Parts: sequence; C-alpha cells; structure tokens
Amino acid sequence: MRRFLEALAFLALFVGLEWLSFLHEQDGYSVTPWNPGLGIAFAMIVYRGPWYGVLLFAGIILAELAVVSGTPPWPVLIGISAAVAAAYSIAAIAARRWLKLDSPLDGAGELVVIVLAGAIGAALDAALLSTLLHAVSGYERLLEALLPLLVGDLIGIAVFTPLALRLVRHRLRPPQRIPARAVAEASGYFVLIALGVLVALYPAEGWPRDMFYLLFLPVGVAAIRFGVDGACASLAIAQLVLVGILHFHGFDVRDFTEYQVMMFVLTLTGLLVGGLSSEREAADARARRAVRRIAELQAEATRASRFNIMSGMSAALAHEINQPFTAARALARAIEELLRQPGVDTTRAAANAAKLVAQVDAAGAIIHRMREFLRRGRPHVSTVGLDRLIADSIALVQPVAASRGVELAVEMPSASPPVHVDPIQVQQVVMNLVLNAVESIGASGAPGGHVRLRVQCTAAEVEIAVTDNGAGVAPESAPRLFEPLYTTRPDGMGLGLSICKSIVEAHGGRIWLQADASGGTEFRFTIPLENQPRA
Amino acid sequence: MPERAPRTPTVYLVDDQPSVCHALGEMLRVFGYEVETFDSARAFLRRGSRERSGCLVADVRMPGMDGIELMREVNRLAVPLPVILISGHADVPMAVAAIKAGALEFIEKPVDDRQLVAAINRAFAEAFERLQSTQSLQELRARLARLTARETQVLDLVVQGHTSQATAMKLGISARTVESYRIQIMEKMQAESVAVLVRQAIKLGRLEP
Repeated sequence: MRRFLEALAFLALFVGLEWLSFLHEQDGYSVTPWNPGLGIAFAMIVYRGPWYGVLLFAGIILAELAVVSGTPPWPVLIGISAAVAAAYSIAAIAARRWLKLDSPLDGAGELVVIVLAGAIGAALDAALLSTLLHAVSGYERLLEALLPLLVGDLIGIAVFTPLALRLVRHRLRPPQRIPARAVAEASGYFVLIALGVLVALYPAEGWPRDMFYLLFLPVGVAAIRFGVDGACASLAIAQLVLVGILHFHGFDVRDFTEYQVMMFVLTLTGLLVGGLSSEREAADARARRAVRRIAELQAEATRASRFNIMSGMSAALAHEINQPFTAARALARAIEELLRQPGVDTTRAAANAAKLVAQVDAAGAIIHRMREFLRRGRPHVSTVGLDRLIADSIALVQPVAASRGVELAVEMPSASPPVHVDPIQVQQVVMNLVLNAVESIGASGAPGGHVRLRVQCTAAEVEIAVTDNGAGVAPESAPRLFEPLYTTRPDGMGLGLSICKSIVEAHGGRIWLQADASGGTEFRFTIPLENQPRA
Repeated sequence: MPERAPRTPTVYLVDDQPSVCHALGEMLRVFGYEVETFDSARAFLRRGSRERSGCLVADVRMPGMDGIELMREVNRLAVPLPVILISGHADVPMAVAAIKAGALEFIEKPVDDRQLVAAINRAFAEAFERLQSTQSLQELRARLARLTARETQVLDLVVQGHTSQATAMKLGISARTVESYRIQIMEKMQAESVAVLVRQAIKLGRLEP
C-alpha cells in the first residue's frame, strides 16, 4: 500500500514537473532543454528498481496527454516514450548493478557514476530515438531538437538525481539536526547564487555579458562547506532560478541550451567539489573515531592489566585481610566472655572493643585500596601527595613480598612534592615494577631477596627506581622489554611493561632499564612536575 | 633427682603480627589460660626451655623461622611441647605437611575459638602424658645409676637374651656369680621378671625394640 502511494506520488510529481518545465514544443513534443522529472525518475529507478522504469513510461505518456497541445499519433507517442524509458532504465539499472550505485552517495566517485550513467542513458536515448524517428516520416525535424533534449535530460539527471537520492535515502529528513548557524550560512550562499544568476542573465549597462562564471564561487564554497548536500542544494537553486528567469523572459531554445550547457559544467564542478569535500569530511570523522577508539582500547587494556595485577596478588591480599579479621574475631570473643563473667571488667572489655574497631578499620583500609585500584571509569587526573601515592602502592604489594619472603624497603625524600597525575595509573606502574622485581627474585630461587624502591625529586621531575637482587634481565631480551606481548615468563601476558611505558609517556615521563645495576635489575621512571599530563 | 611440681600449663603463642598475637592472647587469657606471647620463633627459642609446660600455638607464615621450622626445633628438645599451627593461608598441602611434621592440629585463620580451645586442651593432656613418661624415664635412669659397672654389663647381656651360662662365658666369670648379679639387678631395677627388665632397657635406650 505504501509502495502504491509512493508510485502515485511519483507520477503526480513527474507530470507536475513536466508541466512546469514545458516551455518549447515541436511537433507535439516538449523540447525544453530542462528535464527535472527525468532526474527524479532516474533516482527512483536506481533506488527502487526497474518497476519505476515502467512508471517513467506511463509518466511520459500522461505528461504528453496533459501538457502538450498537439499530441502525436499513438504509435509514435508510445514508441518515443518506450525508447526514453528503456534507455534511462537500462542506464540506471546498469549503474546500480555494475557500478554499485547503492552506497550512501557521499563521495565524488559515486556522483561521477551518476553523471556517467546519465550520459550513457542519453547516448542510448539518442540512438533509439534517431532510429525511430528516421523510420517514422514527418518527424525528421524533431531530430534537430535532439541535442537540446539530450542536454536537458543530462542536466536533469546531474542536478536532480543526487538530490533526490539523498532525500529518499534519508526519508526526506536530515540525518542529524542542522544547527541554526549552518542554516543561516547556507541561506547566504543560496541568496548569492540567485543574485549570481540574475547578474549573469541581466548584466547592467556596460558590464560584460555572460558573467555565468560568477556562480562558480558561491556554489564551490557551499560545496566545500556542506559537501554533497551543499552542492546538490546550490545546484538545484541555481537551476530553478535560471529556468524561472528563462521561462519568464521567454528565451529561445538555442539560448536556453547554451545556458544549460554552462549550467552542466557548473553542475559537474559543484558535484565534484562537494563529493571531495564530503569524502575528506568522512575521512576526518573516521580518523577521529579511530583515535578515540584507540584511546578507549588503551584505557581498557590498562584496566585489564590492573585486574591482572590484582588477581596475581589476591592470595597475599586475602591473607593480609585475614589478619585483622583474626584479631577482631578473637577480641570479640574476649569481650563476649568478659561480659558473661560475674563482676564484669568493663574497662578491659572497652579496651578490647576499641582495639577491635581498629582492626576492622585496618581490614577496611586494605579493601578500600583494592577497590580504588580496580575502580572503573575514565582516567582521572588529580593532584596528590607523592608520599601518599607510594604508601598506597606499597600497602598493596608488601603482603606479596612478605609471602615470598622478599624484603621490601622504601627510600623517600623527607619532603616530597604533590604530583599532578592519574594516581591509580602511576600506582599501577609502581606496583607492576615491584611485583616484577619480587617475581624475578622468586625465579632466581635464592634466599635473602630484597627489593628497594627509591624516590628522588628534582625541581623538574620525580624519579622512581625499583631495584632487586633477583635473576636479572637477559641481555637479548632487554631491548624488547617494553614491547607489547613480549614476555620472558611462561605465564606472563607481556602487557605489564608496555602498559607501564604508555602510562609513563602519557604523563610526559620516561621509563627505562637502568644498565649499570650490578646484578639483579633496576627499572627507573620519571614523572615531570611541571608538564601537564596528556592522559 | 628431686621431683619438681609441674608448672601451671601455659599456652605459648608465637605470631609475627602483633595485633593477632595480642588479640588471641587476650582471648585465651579471658578464657582462663596462662598465656605467654612471642613475636618470632627466635624470641620463643631464646626463652629458657627448662620450665616449659603446656603447648605451643604458632603461626605458619612468619619471616625468619616459620612455624613448621619452629616445630622441628621444639621436637628436638628434651621435653617436646605439643604444637598447634595456625595459618591465614591454609591450603591442603600445607596442612598435610604440618601434620606430618608432627603438629597436633592445624587451624585456619580467622581462628575458630572452639576449635582452638579443644586443641589446646588436647595438647595439655598430651603434655601431661609426656611429662609423666618423662618422669618415669627419669626414675628408671636413677635406678640404673645405682647399678655397678659390672651389673650394668650383665644387664645388657641378659636383656639381649644371653643365658646365665653364656653371660658367664663372655665375662669370664662363673655362672653362679652371674646369677647373684641378676638378683641384685632385679632388685635395684624393681623388675619382677626378665620381661619387665627388657621393657625398661628399651625405654632407657639400651636395647633396640
């Protein structure tokens, strides 16, 4: 039903446009070099398929009957209508089938394909009609009108097919809300275009004639600013104003055709510029999306790495949380027992209760640190004390070191500056380096392992060094350490150090393997104090 | 040797975490136990071992000497204490290793106080038994000390199953003399029969069981 209504609307529009564009008649035929109806029919055949070729045929006959006064005999009318409908249907279907003219129509390539398909249709039409008209006596004169006819067909397709396709594709609605500023700007161009047409057709006394080229400027700018849509709208306005004036003024077919040829050149230029502008715009948008996606993936990988770090520490941290719980439970039982005893020792019970609260708080602090470390959400830059940041990191990794029998020592300057960083990410780097160090001692299997974390501050930057007396780094793997997916551990993912590197670099710092460390391994990284982080 | 009155049995608590050590100690004291706490295995071992009686409750995971090592040390002492191990990191292999190494009980943190109290009471009973058998051993040693060198020689040969004749031959004395030594020995050792004498010899470590 909807399809049927659509077909009826198309027929009405087609006949209406034929009536509107009818200026010149020859042997009962409209020979006006302007055929907007064909442009729309061409778009519908591309969009809906050959069925609209049949509607085009019906439309031409209806228009002839309704618009033109002297109707040719039926066989000639049907022959000519069939030839026109067949030529453009074949061209449109071919464009759709072989030139893949079903894409969003937002590049110069697709616009060129439309114009090319129109030209092929026009050539086919010319061949069919000349054969037909030669065969039917009395219509030789119509052959002279073939050139303006074909120019009209071609320009009708070039100007109106892209516009109609864009409109039907988007169901006659703009794909996104158009800001008022853009509407005002576009209206400005349209006014300039209309004025340009006026100046071209009615040059003032003493002005050069044929100032049609003036139109290239506003059409070109509109095409650059608004892409394919800007070009289509500008060209439609230029064409409508031009035809309106020619109609009003009554130019003859030859002049009309001359203007239409210039209009055709303007159309080709406008479409090309608009197409290229849209392509560049689309490429820019794709690049912006890609950059955004990379940042998202980076953040995701960083967070995944935090979960990985935390899962590796979970046993040690569970032990760490168990300690205060053990103490708290024992204290609670002591209080319970004290309260049951005759002559309750309230002082002792209260002291135990206070200690119990402290133990629960201690467990809570560990859980809070874990949850902060695993917090989801966007990277978050804030100003934090360096000592607090290091203390939080050490609180989480200390139990792991203890569980492996590794001694963990921290050297902090007496006064440490506040840093402007994403504290969780920097904590991630510190913890990653310390855990790697503990791991490397475990791999060396020697007792008496120790890890030293040393923080040094200059006016410009903070340098953090993590040193261990573990297995050390094999010289051949040193250059590849910070590469993603590079790992020397059988169970490693090879993401830790590469993510450390991206975090440190996003903060404007550097991370490296300190070469002159005697035995063991020393990693260092810096965080500049003044630079604003890019993260 | 003078008999010493047994001390009040004490729970010796060893945990490197001061808060846990304090809290468990406080709980056991409220429950009525005598408790001594230590923050490391070394601190416990440094304390004189002579007058200990009771049981040892130790955390498995401690820096320096861990709970299982401590238990091995304690087992080497003249009077071994029963050991209860506690751990916040209980896994099956660790528990099996602990029991194999001679732990009386292996308890997970957070410690269930009923489980702990039951284990401590069992440990005290065991400690009492050990003390008793130690005391009977000391008694036997005192009896043995009363034998002359010759009587000791005869005792060793007799419990090894030598007849009086064979003993006499080995020592180059007469069988009658051996017989009289045997009577002396039985009297001094307060043994009613050779079978009792053999058990005593085993207990004293003079004979492979």
